[in-house]
Amino acid sequence: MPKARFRLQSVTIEGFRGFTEPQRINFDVKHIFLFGENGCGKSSIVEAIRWCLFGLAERPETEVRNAYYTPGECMVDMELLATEGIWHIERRLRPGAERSRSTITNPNGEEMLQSQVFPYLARMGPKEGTHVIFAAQQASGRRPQADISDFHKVLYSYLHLEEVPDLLERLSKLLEEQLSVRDELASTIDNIEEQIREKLNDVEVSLKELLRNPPWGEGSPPTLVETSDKIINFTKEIAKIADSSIDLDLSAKEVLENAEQLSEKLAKTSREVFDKKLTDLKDKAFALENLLQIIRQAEKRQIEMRQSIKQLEEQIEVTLDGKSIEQFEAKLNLLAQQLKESNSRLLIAKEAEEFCRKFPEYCPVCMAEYTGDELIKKIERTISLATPQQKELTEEIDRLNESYRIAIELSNRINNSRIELQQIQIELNDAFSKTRLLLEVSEGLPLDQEIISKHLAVIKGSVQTCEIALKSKEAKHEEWKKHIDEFRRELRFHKYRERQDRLQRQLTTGLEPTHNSLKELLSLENTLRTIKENLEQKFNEAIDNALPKLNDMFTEVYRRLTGQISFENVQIIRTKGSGGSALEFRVGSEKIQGQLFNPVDVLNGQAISALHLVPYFVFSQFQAEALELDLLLIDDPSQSFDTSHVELLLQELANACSHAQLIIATHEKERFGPSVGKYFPMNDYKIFKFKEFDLKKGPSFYAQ
Amino acid sequence: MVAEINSKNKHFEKSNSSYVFNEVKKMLDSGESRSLWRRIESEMYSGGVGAVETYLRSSFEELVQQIKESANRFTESLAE
Repeated sequence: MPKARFRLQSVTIEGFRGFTEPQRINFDVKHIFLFGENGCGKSSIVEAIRWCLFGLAERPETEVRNAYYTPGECMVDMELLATEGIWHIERRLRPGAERSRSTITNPNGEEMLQSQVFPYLARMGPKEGTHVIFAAQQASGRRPQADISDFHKVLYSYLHLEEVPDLLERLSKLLEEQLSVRDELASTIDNIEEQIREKLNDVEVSLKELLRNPPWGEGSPPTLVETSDKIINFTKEIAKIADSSIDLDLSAKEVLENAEQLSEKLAKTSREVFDKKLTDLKDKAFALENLLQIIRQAEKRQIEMRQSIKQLEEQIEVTLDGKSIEQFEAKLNLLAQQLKESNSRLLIAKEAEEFCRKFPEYCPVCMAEYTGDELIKKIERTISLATPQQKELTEEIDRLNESYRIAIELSNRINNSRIELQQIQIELNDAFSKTRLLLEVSEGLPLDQEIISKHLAVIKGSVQTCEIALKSKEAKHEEWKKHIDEFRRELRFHKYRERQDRLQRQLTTGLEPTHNSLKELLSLENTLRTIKENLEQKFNEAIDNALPKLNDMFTEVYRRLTGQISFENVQIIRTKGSGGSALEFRVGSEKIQGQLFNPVDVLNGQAISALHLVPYFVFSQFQAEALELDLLLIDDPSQSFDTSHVELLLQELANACSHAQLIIATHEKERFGPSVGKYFPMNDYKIFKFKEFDLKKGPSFYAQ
Repeated sequence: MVAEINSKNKHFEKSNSSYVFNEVKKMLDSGESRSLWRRIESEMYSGGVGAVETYLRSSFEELVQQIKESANRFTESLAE
């Protein structure tokens, strides 16, 4: 048998599981037996070695730390003896840390990588430890590291096939992931294509709408060059009118914008000019109409006023009997004088009458004695004559006074009318002055209502002419606007066409690189799937090829180890697993042909425990190559074994240890102890006995 | 790995990874799958199964990125 490169020389343990202060166990012989009661710390040594090699990948590493050990350090250091000297593997879980760190140092103290020094161990990983077997201590709640449920992994490892299921599992996972990634990508590309189709549809709808009333009229659509030429010529025409120029380096769209700006500018200017002219003319016409109205009214009033004065004068003449007012006043004064005289005489007569009646014997004038009767009679006659005259005179004066009053009133009205007539004349003169000024007619030239009316007609004619001209200009601008709109629609047509072509191109060729890459991705996926299927097929063939012989070998070792008579045949069956095939143990019997059973359903504890150990014993028979570390760790291998089977087990272990280094922990020292010497040379092994366990000090043991 | 094959045991000489890989190689006659398989084998030799996975993931990722970039470029060109 080939010899392993390294041999375990010692283990130093600190703060790991039951251990507290650092303790060193020297393996100065090849094989170690650890005897002690359950819970005394022997399993901690087996586990410490395993942890040092593999760590604890699937559970929190903090659970290996001894919580009672106050420094908090957790460390296992293994000394490995090699031809070149002592190597160290140290694994340390620092206080407070959650993951441990392993360091490997060569005899020169240089740090090395595990994959360089222990490639086989590195590849095996913590679970597929074919040379590290834990087969007991179910009661502690810890799961065995190489049990039947992981059997296929153990077996693949023995067969050096472990890479294939691992690869298959990873390929399956990768392909599955890839499928969803590809679906997502395909959906993204579909969405993009859908977006383009929607855009294309929008453009086609716009084109259809535009072509329903094509801006170029009937006939085939113009080319872009033709449209551009039309736009340039049109713009040149406008530019010429606007006394401007166009930049021919601009795009058709920009030239059209220039045309629109020029057209709007021309329209605005033209509108402003005509608006001003029209406003002036309309203002002038309005002012002239007002003046003409004033003149007409003034002249009419003038005539009316003159007629009224004439009538008033005629009334005065009638009222004063054809006399003038002065003559009438003289006559009135004369009559008034006459009335005054008459009144005086009447007054005297009345006084004289009164006197005479009082003094009839005296003359009222000379006081001579006079017979009054006669005088009184005369006086009475005078009075009687004087009163009617006076009455007549008074009436005459009243009548004349009334006529005079009327004449004066009429005369006043005439005077007022004359003043008003003068005022009208002033207004008239003012209106004529303004009219002359408005019409620019000099003072020397005649101007009357008729002439003014003619002028007004001429101005109104100009307003009409101006309005017609403005309408014509605006019509022209409207025509330009229409052309601009048509050109713009033509340009839009070309833009839609160009966009339609581009989108169709994008739809057919634009996504080609993406599709090609997707095809490439699919091709890679299919190629990998083909590889995976072929690998799976060949892997199954390899397993199927190995199984008949393996079954024989397993059955042979199993029978030797257990002496089974009821379910004496071991069969490995291939089932479907995540990485391809999985392998499971079944047991059968010659007595029940054609039927296989799950070991846990039909075997007792001893037989199941033995079954755990079978793969190692089988493969140790033909392990060809030298391993780095051929270490067989077994914790309570004889659980459920009776004494006779412990002997068989020791016999198998002795066979295996021809090349392997054994470290076996058991609480059955009574059954193991007496037989160890039978199968192992005295100098090849050492027994450590565990005395007691102290929470603070850890396990106590001594070498026997 | 090949060195690890138990050459003395003829029963299992067709039941190890190297043999399986060789058989797969024989089955893959087309250029593309054969070429990929060669690359997988090469990665296996240099860095194990992990290296194969890394290589394949990176190959897929490269193509996926290529598609995404191409699609992005195209989408951007649509927006213009």
